[in-house]
Order: sequence, then structure tokens, then C-alpha cells
Amino acid sequence: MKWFIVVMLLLSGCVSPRVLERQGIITATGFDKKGKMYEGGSVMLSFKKMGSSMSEVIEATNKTSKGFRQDLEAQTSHDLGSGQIRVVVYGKELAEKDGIFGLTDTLQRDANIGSLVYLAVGEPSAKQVIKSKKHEDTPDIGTYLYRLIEKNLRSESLLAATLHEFIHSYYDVGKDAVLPCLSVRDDKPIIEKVALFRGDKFVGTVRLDESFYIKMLSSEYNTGLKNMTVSREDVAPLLIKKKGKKVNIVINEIKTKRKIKLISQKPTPHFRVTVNMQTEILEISDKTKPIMKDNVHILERAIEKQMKKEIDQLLVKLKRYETDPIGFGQIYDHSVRKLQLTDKQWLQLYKDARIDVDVNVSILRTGTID
Amino acid sequence: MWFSKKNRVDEVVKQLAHSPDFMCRRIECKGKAVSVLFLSNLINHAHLQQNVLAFIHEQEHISIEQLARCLPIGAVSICETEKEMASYIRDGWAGIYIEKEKRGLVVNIAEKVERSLEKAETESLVLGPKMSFTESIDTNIRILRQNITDQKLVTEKMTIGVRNPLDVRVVYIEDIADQTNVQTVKQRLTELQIDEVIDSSILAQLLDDHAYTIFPQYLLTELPDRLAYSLMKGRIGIFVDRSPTVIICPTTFFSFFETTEDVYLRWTMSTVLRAVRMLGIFASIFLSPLYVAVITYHYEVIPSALLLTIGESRSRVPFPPVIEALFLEFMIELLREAGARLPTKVGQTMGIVGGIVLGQAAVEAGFTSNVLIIIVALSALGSFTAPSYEMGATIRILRFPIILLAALWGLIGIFIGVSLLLIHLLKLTSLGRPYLSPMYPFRFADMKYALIRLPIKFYNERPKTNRPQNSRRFSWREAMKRKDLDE
Repeated sequence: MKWFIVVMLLLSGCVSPRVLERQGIITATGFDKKGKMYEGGSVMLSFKKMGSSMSEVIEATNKTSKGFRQDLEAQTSHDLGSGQIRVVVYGKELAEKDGIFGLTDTLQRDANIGSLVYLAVGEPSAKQVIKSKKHEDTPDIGTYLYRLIEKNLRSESLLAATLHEFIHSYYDVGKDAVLPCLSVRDDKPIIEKVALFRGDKFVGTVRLDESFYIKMLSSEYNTGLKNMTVSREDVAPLLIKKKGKKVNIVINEIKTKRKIKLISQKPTPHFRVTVNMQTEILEISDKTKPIMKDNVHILERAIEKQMKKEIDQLLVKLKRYETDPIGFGQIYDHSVRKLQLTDKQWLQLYKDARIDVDVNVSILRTGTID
Repeated sequence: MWFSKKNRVDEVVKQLAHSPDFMCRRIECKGKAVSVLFLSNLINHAHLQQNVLAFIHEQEHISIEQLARCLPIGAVSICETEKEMASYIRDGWAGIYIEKEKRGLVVNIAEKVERSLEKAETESLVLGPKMSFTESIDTNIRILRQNITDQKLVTEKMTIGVRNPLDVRVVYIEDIADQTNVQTVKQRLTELQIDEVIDSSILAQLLDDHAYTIFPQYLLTELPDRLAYSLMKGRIGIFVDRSPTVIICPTTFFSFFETTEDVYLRWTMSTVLRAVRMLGIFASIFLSPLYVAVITYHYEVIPSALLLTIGESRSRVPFPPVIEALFLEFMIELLREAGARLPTKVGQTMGIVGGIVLGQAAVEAGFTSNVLIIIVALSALGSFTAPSYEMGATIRILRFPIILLAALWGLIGIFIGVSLLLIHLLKLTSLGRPYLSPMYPFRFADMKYALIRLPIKFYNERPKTNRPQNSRRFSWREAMKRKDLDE
């Protein structure tokens, strides 16, 4: 028996080795649309014996992403390895017209690629993002993009960016995916906006300060910083000077809890969203009277009012794009018995859905200065 | 055979004639010829002159019985045959024969060569008693009796070896040690058919349950306090004459990673130290195979921050990772072996030359990568943390097959290796008792004796692994009471 197992293992042969330094390690890939073909580039890391290592971008055009891989293979002496892919960027045009599911699906099927790969939309094209030469102190653009997205996810200014989350939202009825949108400024990729999806198709973008609300409404929010502009009238009793129109307030250490309830289904779905927020004041642009226990509510109400306004605007915008990144559809699906909600049905309901937002802000501290 | 009517002394002389140091002193005393026979290299001459020769001279009436009664010497014995007397003389006794008597007398005036008691070297400690056993079984038993004054301490004498008989003592505490274990030890010792045994380490191998395994099954210690500790916990010790190490049995896998210092240090420190040791051992077996597996097959799992460092240092190396790893591991083994064989002073130079110069040069020449040097150095260090020299060697050797498995099948290979190792360990026994206890069979209460260390008051029971007849050490309730509290 013992020998049988040993012989069996030996005869079953070995996996073909993929020795690290023989690999051309791809750290990022970008796809764009060029007529009916995919055009794209991959960032390949090659190790140098002396001095610092270099990365190089190789490009190809093909009908499928695996065919594209074969074209790339022809251009290098290394075996291309996709096991270290960190970021995949899709051009805006590609995402808008063809949808990206076909391309994400092959990533999902490749066992070498983890499901925590970050996806992003490149504006105006993925090629421009990938071919950027500015990547700070990182050795290649792939690592730079990876760290950029990771940092912004950690500081909670982005919602979700991993392949896993994208695929999950894609298959989930009543929730649409969002991805970071990389734009190029001075030849350097930065995150300015968040791309909204319906199914696997790109429909539009929202600014990062708007995506703050999406994040707040779709899950709990725990860190971060938010700049609010409130009208002067609302906080008038606190101010010393009476001139000007707006007051800027920066709130910090935001902790929110949200509750979304379906109140009625007919004639149109009616949701009530309650957000409880605890925060502290970091900065106020005007000189104020000392903020005490008995007048802090003025500030709280002003922030609540402004937030409610901004959320309402955002919801209108989302409805216009016909996308539901917050997941009202999911809540609808959970709350209504014996319902097999489909994406199409929900889209009809969503257009007319009434969403009341209620924000309760409590300011715990008004800053550590006395 | 009775002493013949011929000259019986000549018969003894004939048996010892090949020894040039054999002496036969004939003295005339009260008209009787008295012969004193001895091997001059083995005896204490002052003793011979003052207590034997002088005493015989002073006697009024002389006979063997009278001498046996009156000689001022502890050990005397009356011999019936020449052969018996010759064998006593070979042990350093002196034979006395009086003309025309049927029997002879032997007296113990042997002076055995013995080194003085020294500090333990292979199991050196920072805290606790430093004395170690020596090569003389009498001294060793003396040290043990000083350590354990328990009335129930049993030291059973046995002799093994047909041509070169060896004195062996089985020691245990009568009402603690498991009787089955004692019986097994005694039976294995009596059934042993062998011409000679040189050292306790050989005896340990002769008593093994499994001869083909790589793992040692009995603990060898040179520390009297460790033996005393083990005996009081229900284990059995085997002393072997001419050997400075004592066999402790039955042994579990985890006892090879314990030192007596674990008991002497405070519990927090010992727990951390045990964890460090376990981690070190684990790293020692698996770090180099992991390197080989990851670099050869699974570059995906390398964190992006490390990717460049590893990649750059690997790109200079012309060999596949497995050759690189085997080469470096072989070099470390070579250094260790060379260091162990050389005299101490040269050995230190070897360490420096090997460690620094060779390592640096190997990297410079592009033979190995920097990362692997660190890994191999770490795993070498890890293997030296094993308190038992035997177990340390075992761990160093275990690494090599696992490296090969990693080179063949990557991480899957490593897990095949781990599984086979685990299956093997589960099957092992020491003196018929499970080797992996308290992990398998699982004994939660014994964990404090194996993996962690708790405050002393929790050690109120002897480890169940040893199956003590009497498991209670002290009362838990009494230990928990605080008597010095004034209220």
C-alpha cells in the first residue's frame, strides 16, 4: 500500500514549475474597445540583476482576452504570469458600450488570479492610465494603482473595488456595482470620481463627496472626514459676523448607523432611511461663539438639513442613471413575501420609488481646543 | 571447582598471567604463607598497606574466617573457586589466600578512575542546579539519592552484556511509577541478548519500540534534577555504568522540547520560551521548503512589497530554487559538523569564516539569494533551540526530504510531507505508550506539562500521560489559601 501510493505520486508527474525570475509578472492590465476588438496593455515587471527593477508596458489587440494574452506572449522572453495582477482597468468606452462582464468572468475563472483583484474604470481610456509614467515611489504603475485604490478604500472614500464584490453585485438582484474611476491629470492617474454601473455597463459617475453618501447609506461608515457647506442663516445664532452666504464645516471621525425600511409597497415602494451619525467638528470657516451644550443643536440641525438636501439630490441623480448602488432593491426583495424580483421589474419600481431620508447628527466633540 | 590440592595460588596466577601489572605478594605470618594477589593498576596502594598488609602482620592467629570477620574493610567476600577470585581481582579487589586453606578471601580496595563532577555541557542551563552525571554509576546513584530522599525510591540492579558485563540500575518511585511500565523495562532488559553495551545511548536504541524511525524514543539526560523531576512525575530512569547520561522513559514527543529551566522560570516566561521554541522548530522544518515551493510554483502568494526584493535577489542565481536551497543547507550542515569536530578554539574561527565570509561570498558570487541566506540561517538557529541534541539533529535531517517534496509538488508536496510525518508520529510509541500524548490521545489536563506552563499551584496532579499510580501531588484547596493575610 505504502509503495503503491509512492509510485502513484511519482507517476502522476509534476506540475510544470513557474520559477519566479523566469516569469514576466503582470501587475496591471487595461482593456479598451477598438472597433470590434479588444485593445489593451499589460504592465510587466522584470527583475534586473543590478540597479532597480524596471517595468514595461506591452500592448496587443485581439478579439478575446486570452487571445490578447497570446499576442502579449509573443512579445517577451519571459513566461507571462497573471498571478500577481493587482488592478484591471477598463476603458470608459468599453465599459459603457460592451459591458465588462465578459472580461471579469475570465478573471474569475483563472485560478491564478485571486478574487481580491481591484477593478477600475479608466477615463478617457484604460491605455492612458496604464501607460502613465508617473507612479511616485512604487516600481511600476500596477503597484501604484493598487496602493492608490487600497488607500482610498481604507479611508472609506471608495465603496468597493474588488472583483469579488463586482461579481457579487452583478449577480445580485436589486443592487448595482460601483467601481473607482481613474482619471488622468498631468499624466498621473488619480481617483476623482466613482463609476456607477447598471449590470455590467457603465452609466455615469458621481463625485467622491457624493459617493460618501452612497457608502453611508449602503453600509456602516466608520472613519473619515467630510466637508459640509451650510447656509449662513441656519447657523446664524452661533456666528459673530453676519456677512457672507455660506459657512464651511469640516466634520471628522464620522460614525454612522443606517436603517432602511420599506414602509409601503403600493402604489409605489416607499422607503424610509434613518441615518444616525456621531461625529466631531474639526474646522469651521467662520468665527463662532463658544459652542456649548445648549447651542450645539443649532449646528447639528444645520448639518442634518444640508445632508438631507445633498442625499436627496444624489438619489435623484441615481434614479436618472437608473442604477441602485445602495441596494434598495435588495431591501424590497427581502421585505416582500413570495417575490422573485427581477432586475427589469425592479428598474420599473425604482423609477417611481419614494425615499424619505432622515438624518440624526449628534456632535460629540467640538474640537480639542479650549 | 574447589581449590585443588596443588598450589592453588598458582592456579589464579595462571588465569591472570597475561596482565603484567598482576602482583602476588607472599608474606610469612605466624609460620603460615599468606598470599595477597591484586592488579596493581586498579587498587589503592595506601589502603592495601595500611588496612590489609599491616593488619595481617598484627594478627596472633590467622585464618580466612577470622580475617573476613576482622579486616577493617567494608566489602569482603569469601571465594570458593579460583575463577571467582580472578574475576574479583579484575575488578580491582585484592585476593588473600592462606596456605592449606580451602577458600580464599577477596577485599575491595579498588580505586576507580573517575573525573570530577562538572557543569552540564550539552544541556546547559542559566537557572537551577548545574551539576551533571559522570561516568561512574556509583557516583551517579549517590547524586540521585541526594536529590531524592523519598523512601519509596527503588534502584534495581541488573546486569547486561555477556562478555563485558555492565551494571545497569532501573530507578523509579515505587508508589508513583506505573507497574506495567516498570515490568516492560525490566523484561526488555532481561531479554536483551548482547555481548556488550558501551553507552546508555546504545542501550536506549536497543530498548526502542521502533528501530527504523528517525525520532528518538527515549530521553537522554545528564542533569540529576531533570531525572529527579521525571521520577517524581512517574517516569522511570535507567542508569548505565560508564555512561554520563541517564535514560528516561516513557517519553513523549513534547518532552524533547522541555528543559528543566521551564520549571525554574516564572510561568509567563516559560510559556513564551516554549512558544518561541515551538515556532523555531516549526520554522526550522518548513521555512526552506516553503521558499522552494513558493519560488518554484506559487509566485502568486508573495506579497507585493516583497516581490521585488525576492525577484531581484533570485534573478542573479543561475540554479533552480531547489538546488540553491539544498546547496545552502548542505553548507550549513557542513559548517556545523566541522565546528563540532574541531577543537573549541579553531571551531570559533570556523563559525566566523563559515557564517560571514562564505555566506557573503555566496551571495556576491550569485550562488544564492540574500533571502535564502536569511531563511537558512533562521532554520539552522531554530533547530538549535531544541533542548535535546538528538531531537535537534532529527529536525535538521527532516528538512531535506520536505525540501525535495516541495521541489516536486510545491505546497501540495509540503502537505504530503506533513501528512506522512503526522501519520508516522501518531503510530509511534515509547515503551508502548503513545508518543504524541497529550495531543493524541488528547489529554487536556496534561497540556500544562507539554505546550504551556501555568503557575505552580495548577500542578497539583501528576501528568496522566505517565499513568501514575498516585496522581495527587498536593491539595489544590490548600494551595489556593492565603495564610499570610492579616485581616
